[in-house]
Amino acid sequence: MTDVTFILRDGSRRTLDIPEGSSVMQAAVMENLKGIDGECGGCLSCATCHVYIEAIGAGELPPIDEEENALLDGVAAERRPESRLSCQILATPGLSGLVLRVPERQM
Amino acid sequence: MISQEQNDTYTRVGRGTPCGELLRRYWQPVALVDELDGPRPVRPVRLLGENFVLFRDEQGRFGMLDRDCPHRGADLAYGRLEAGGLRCPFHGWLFDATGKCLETPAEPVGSKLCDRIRQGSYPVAVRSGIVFAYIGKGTPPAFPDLDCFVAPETHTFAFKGLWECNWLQSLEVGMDPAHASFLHRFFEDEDPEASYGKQFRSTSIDSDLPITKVLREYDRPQISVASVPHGLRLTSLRPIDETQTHVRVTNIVFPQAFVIPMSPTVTITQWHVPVDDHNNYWFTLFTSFTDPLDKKTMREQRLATYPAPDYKPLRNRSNNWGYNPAEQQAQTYLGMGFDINVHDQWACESQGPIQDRTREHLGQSDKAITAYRRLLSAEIEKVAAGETPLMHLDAAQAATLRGPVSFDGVDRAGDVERYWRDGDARRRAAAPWGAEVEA
Repeated sequence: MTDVTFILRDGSRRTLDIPEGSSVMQAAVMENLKGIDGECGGCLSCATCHVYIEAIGAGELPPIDEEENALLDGVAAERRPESRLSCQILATPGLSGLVLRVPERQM
Repeated sequence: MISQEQNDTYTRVGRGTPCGELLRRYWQPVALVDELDGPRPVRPVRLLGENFVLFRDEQGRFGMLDRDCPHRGADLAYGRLEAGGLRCPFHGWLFDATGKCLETPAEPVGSKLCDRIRQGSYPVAVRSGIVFAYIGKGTPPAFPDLDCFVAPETHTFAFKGLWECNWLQSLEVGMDPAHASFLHRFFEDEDPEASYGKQFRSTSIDSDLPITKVLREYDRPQISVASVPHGLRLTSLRPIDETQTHVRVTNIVFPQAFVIPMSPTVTITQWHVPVDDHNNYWFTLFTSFTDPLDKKTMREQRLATYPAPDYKPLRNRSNNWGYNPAEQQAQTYLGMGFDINVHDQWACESQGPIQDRTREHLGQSDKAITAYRRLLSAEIEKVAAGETPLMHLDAAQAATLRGPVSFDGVDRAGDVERYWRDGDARRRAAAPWGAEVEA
């Protein structure tokens, strides 16, 4: 299991314990975490699971591939260097301690 | 994709549920006036998981009461229609259309029991051949001045049918312009002249293209969704060639209806009304901008496959909706006949009693569905906070609404919004019943 902390729009923090192999987006949607929509269910067509990486735990995030990069250009909130789509981040034990900030909007 | 909790919030509609409380803030279609025209105008009604009895008393007044007799709970839908009300056959208690107890004949002479009994009763209103009821708190909203309510009786026709699945997946098919290119695809076009009263059989305005051909050959619509006072407006563009664009404008009238074109002269307004969490009735109002509707033909066409009294379609899950692989190979995309209502019914019922939205993957062509769910969430929250939701209108607000525009045509000038607005305005100017233009 991987602890991932979300900083929500109101500034509060919520930590989810995500099973290995599940995407961060999927876990957030299934836990009704406000601010992560994930409409397309993780098939890289909607860009509504945008997050800002605040802090990385011990491990490393997977690199941004071409498709994610193209979709990040279309996110509703500002794209920043720390922008990622949370459907592309799969939970691994090494990622425990990851901290993500939810953007102001997804649409 | 949404969580189970979110899916429950949208789909569970019993009394006290968040969405159930929202939907109770609106007039809900409960019966066709036709159903209360016979020799015994009494019909059981199940709405949002609650049971009622709808009747017309000897003076023609409509009443909708709780279905269980307040004496000992027997079923008033089997009541005797007499003596100015509906009488329970168990012990003869009699109720008028407002729920007032008129008689408790087994009680001793001089008994005051009757004065202290009141059966739950609900406001009822008739519009364009549909009986609407209000079972929510407070005052019912006003009916908006939409075409389907403003047009004279001669120019509207109402029908209904049962779908055995949740209301939301049924409504969502009405905000999905892409599916029509696939689910409703016919491999050959019928003669539009021979298709009176059927959906998706006409030609688009300003063209000689049968809509079946447009849908079949141009299957990647560019969909845009706009927030409007009545809910959402969807515009679907199908570029045909360098100079022609097929334009289809449809609407969601919040919370539960969509408005779409049936032909150049007739629109469809269709509500999806929860019977309970696992069943819903569609109520359709056809509205003509030109000639009076041939109601007899339209009713007979539909009763042949949705027989009274329950309007449950002959094609349903129990007979695989009449699925025919040979037809699917040669004639239609789905293989379930040529009535597009059956196609939509299969799509929705095959999703299960309540679609498991934790397993869905929405694409860009589903953008109206996501826009609608956002709106639904926001309005559910408003009601939970004690605020007035969208389209719970007072009389002044209701009088400002028009239309809405639903349009199917081919633009050649390269300005689609101007095209459908002008085309709609021309159609309204020519209508015999003074249809006004939506702002």
